[in-house]
Amino acid sequence: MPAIVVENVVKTFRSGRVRALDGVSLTLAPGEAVGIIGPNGAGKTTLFGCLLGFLRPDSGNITIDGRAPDDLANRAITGYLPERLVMDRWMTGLDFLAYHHALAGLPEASRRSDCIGAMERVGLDREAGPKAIKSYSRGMLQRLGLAQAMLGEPRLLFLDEPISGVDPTGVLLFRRLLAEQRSRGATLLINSHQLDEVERLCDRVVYVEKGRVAAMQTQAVGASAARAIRVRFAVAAPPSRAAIEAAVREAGAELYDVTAPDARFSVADDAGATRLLAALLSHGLQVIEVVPEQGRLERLFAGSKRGESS
Amino acid sequence: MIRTVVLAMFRQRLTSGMRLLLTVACFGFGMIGVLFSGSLEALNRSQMGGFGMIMAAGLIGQEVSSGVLTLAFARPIQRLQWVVGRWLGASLLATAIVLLQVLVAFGVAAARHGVPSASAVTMAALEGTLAVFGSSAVLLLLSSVLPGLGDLGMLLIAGVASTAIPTIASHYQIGWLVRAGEELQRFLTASVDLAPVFHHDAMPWFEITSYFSTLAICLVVAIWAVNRKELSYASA
Repeated sequence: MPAIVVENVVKTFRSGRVRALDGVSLTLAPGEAVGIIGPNGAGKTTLFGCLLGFLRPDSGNITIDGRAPDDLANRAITGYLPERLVMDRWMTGLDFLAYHHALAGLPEASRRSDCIGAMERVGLDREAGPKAIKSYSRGMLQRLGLAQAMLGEPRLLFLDEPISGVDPTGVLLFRRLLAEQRSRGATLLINSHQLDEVERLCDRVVYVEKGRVAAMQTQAVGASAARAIRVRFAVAAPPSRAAIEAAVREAGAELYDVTAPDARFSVADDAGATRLLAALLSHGLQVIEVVPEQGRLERLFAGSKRGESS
Repeated sequence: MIRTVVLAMFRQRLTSGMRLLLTVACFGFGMIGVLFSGSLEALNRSQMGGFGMIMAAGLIGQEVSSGVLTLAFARPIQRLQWVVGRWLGASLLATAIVLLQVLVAFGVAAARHGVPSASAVTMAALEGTLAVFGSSAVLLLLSSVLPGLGDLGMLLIAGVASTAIPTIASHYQIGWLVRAGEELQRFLTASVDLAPVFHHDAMPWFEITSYFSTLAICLVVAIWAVNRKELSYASA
């Protein structure tokens, strides 16, 4: 049975004048990680609201494990990190986690150790625990929010902009934690503007626009898309333009420009990128880094936007 | 689950400097009469009900406006439990303050005019307790439909109206309007005068029934309103 089924959901606000969701359908299998992306005001957060039972759809149907979204049995297996992270500012970090630990119905005997463990897991040190939440920085709040969402190892995780406001160290930590959640079999639904993060974490991506699912892609789809890549050569061994051009001809790629120690190329697909790299190496060029100029999702959705405007 | 909400409510209110300041002011105001008269009767129901108002103002509305409800309601807690827990938290905390005030008043009265009778102490404590449960229930109702501290504003407006309506209506001799104004006042100041009970007069059944019906109406409407509430910044 699918973990989450969304069927033709319509949600309007202001007496029907604002159509936030306009016939959204979506299915998530247990253990799947799905990213929801789209422009501001596309209806992503409204979809989360309907999935969590905070909003009642005007029409359509949503089930989670075969139950209504606001069924308490669903809430017992759900962790939620909202986009607008508003917390009880008068609480300390540890009190906040203990409060949610209790609301989640988790055992009182392990409350303190669970909460301390949750704080350590997200990189909040012991000194942060007894501090009032109002003194937390944006990044600390985000870490605390993720810690509360992961309390009790929920089977479903709804994460709205999970990496927003987190420093680079935190981003690496969040990636690792979310990968851990995936590997233990949790179903993840991630709403994010950060396409590269969604690309890293999700099996499938849903592009929502104007309240509709405009596109749904698996990560494999981007493999056949053309893209630009940037190759960096070793500074100690500057590349010769002739050798680069020979490799480009051999691989069937296209050379955009060379600005030592970098060169930019266009390749037709994943296989083209592999051929180009092999050719560059076979011509004795010392490649130290290959980076796509756009992530796969950026390419896909830039393409989607171009297609729409043409 | 209700226990968790009640305990959180205690801590929330006890960390609010403004509420504590108002509590101290209300406490001191109530003690002035006791100091002068040396009698527990100087503690009146309206003043003790004030503790309920201080603790209950913004009971639901402030939580909705601040946005903290979404996280709480993502947990396996019934909204009914949350509403009842918030009301009980405010009422029990205010009751503790009432009991403390009665205790201090007892000490003051004992020092000045001799030890008050057990019935006087019991009556003051019971009347105060009923008054705080009543005033917090009325604010719970208003707070379930108004954001932020709108409940206090509405209580003030309704309080003025409940005083003005009977006065104006009796001037124009409109009987039903006089009665309506009095009922509104009884609703807003939900409390019970227990003097007839302690002085062995007739039991004030109408007042007792009216008080408990006010509590029931406030709780039912607040639970219904919170159950109907949609939580999203997009719905605001």
